[in-house]
Amino acid sequence: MELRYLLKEIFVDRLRVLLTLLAIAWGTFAISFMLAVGQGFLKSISGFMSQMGSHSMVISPGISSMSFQGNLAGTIISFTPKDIEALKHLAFVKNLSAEYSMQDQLKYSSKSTSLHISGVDENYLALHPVSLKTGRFINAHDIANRSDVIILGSEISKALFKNKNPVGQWVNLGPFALQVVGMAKASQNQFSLYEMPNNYLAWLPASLFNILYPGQAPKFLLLSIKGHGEKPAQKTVLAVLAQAKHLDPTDQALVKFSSNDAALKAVTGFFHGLEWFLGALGGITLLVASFGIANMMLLAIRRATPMIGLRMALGALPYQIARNYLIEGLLLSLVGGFVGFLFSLLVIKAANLILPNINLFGPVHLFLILSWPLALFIILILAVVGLCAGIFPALHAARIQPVEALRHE
Amino acid sequence: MNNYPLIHCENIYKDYQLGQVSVHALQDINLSIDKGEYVAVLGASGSGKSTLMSILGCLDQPTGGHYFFDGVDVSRLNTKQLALIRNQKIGFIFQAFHLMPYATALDNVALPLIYRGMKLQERQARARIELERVGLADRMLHHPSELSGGQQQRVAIARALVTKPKLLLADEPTGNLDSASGKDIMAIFDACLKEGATIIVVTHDNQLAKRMQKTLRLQDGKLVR
Ligand SMILES: Nc1ncnc2c1ncn2[C@@H]1O[C@H](COP(=O)(O)OP(=O)(O)OP(=O)(O)O)[C@@H](O)[C@H]1O
Ligand SMILES: [Mg+2]
Repeated sequence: MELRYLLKEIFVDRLRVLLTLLAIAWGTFAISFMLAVGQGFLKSISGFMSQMGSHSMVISPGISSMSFQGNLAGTIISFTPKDIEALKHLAFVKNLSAEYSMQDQLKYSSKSTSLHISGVDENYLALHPVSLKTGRFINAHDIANRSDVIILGSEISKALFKNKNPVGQWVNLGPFALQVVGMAKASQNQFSLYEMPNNYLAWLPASLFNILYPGQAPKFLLLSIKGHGEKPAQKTVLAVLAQAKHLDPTDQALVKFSSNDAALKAVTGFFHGLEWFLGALGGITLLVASFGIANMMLLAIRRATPMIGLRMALGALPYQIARNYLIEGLLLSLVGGFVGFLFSLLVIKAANLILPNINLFGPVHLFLILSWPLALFIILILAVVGLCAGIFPALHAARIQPVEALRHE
Repeated sequence: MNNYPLIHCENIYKDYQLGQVSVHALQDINLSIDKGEYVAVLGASGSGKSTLMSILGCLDQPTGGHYFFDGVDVSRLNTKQLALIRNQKIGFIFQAFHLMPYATALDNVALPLIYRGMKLQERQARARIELERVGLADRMLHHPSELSGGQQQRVAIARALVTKPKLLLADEPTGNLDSASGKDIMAIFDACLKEGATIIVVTHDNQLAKRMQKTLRLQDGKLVR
């Protein structure tokens, strides 16, 4: 009830109130919008990353570094079909695919290019996304029949066929002729776990690979996990392989795990950093705005000093006066913040309408998110700003003496 | 009836410290005022009239001596107790009216009752009665800027009376008013007096002072006979 009069005391200086509210609104907008950008980008990136097989890992063989049960250090690990079967039976293994690899020359009429040949099965696509531009990928039928087919990476296709469609053409790998059945899209994937990006690979059925290059063990095991942490999963995998080969299960050198979770972490870290930076920027704006509120209230209090003295003379207690100014600061901050927040919601809505139509980051689809926890966080910040703004004027007002009522111009 | 005076001052001093210099606003004030008395405080500008009122009204503490109000040694009271005494027992009227410009006459009069934690309905009911008493029944919802000086001062008087105070203090209540409005105010005081209030009025007007039973004359912070 009394608060109404205090607000009117402040609103005498309309322009100042307006500017201060605007500053609060702007600061809130900045925080809200920027946090939404941070969160949205993070979500976009991790969405993209999970598309390329989040929670999947790549296992490559190593060399034992400890002696164990008569096996000396320096044993070279190679993955056997038995290992693969054993790993497939682990409860947390959702999908597993072995990838064979060999460097070779691929020829088409007079042209030739050196490349990495990957021998993979039909599960491979679920673990390592390859988007096809034309044609198809390896299927179960190819594996069963050792079909003489090959899928080319974009750069390989370019080297042999320029911009012509390679599907249906026959290429030569040493003495063997293979029919091209598919071609991969050029990938801008920066987060590959491989030494060689997709663009310089060609894939053929693993069963065929074993005939072309007999005696080769898989170069990588790709595997995805479910309902299990990454670390414990790695520990179990290591234990299974060590047991099969009579090696020390604590020997970290037996195999190398690479996971795109690690890459994800790096990217996530970057975007968290961005979030902090942008959030801090908005925070500073709010801090300045909070000074603005405080200054405005102090001016109003200076003008109203005889009236505050009068209230004291009429029996108001200092804490009652202080409380009113605290609430007032809070109110101003929340009102300004509400406006800024609404505005940020509008802008975010608009941005989400426009963003899908611009392809800034290739395959990564950007969008902005303003989640409830974020909104609560912003309200909390505004409350703190309001209290900070109000506390100093409130204490100042509480110190005014009732005798001030007796003084007059 | 209690037999002690409503107001009793013993060797009251009030000094203001202004840097190195101390101003002796009041020096060795001794006085007693009984319930129901009508007292004028006279003196030149700067003689300490307002300072005396601030002490009698428990707005400020003396720097020396003892002030007994309604049998209580005020110098022993804390901020909270002083606020309570002001709210329950003392009504103030100021030369500058001090009305809230954004509030109606009714809300202005009801203000002191807020600090009693009284409900809105009762506050307004009481404020209405007081406004009628000072002859402003038809101006209750007006804002101060829509009232004449005399009407504003009557609102201020209604605000002072709404708490049914034992003591009414007025610091030059007619200082900003023409003589006709001044007379209205004095008539209200007379009516209050009949109802048993104790009133102390600071005035420059000797004519006015003559109507009162007792005159306190201040000169350079001292009482003179
Ligand atoms: N807060 C203060 N600080 C310093 N000096 C003060 C203060 N208040 C009053 N004084 C001084 O005390 C003396 C008495 O002041 P006071 O206001 O009581 O005079 P007054 O009789 O009410 O004068 P007027 O008729 O002009 O209102 C003056 O000399 C004044 O300057
Ligand atoms: Mg004075």
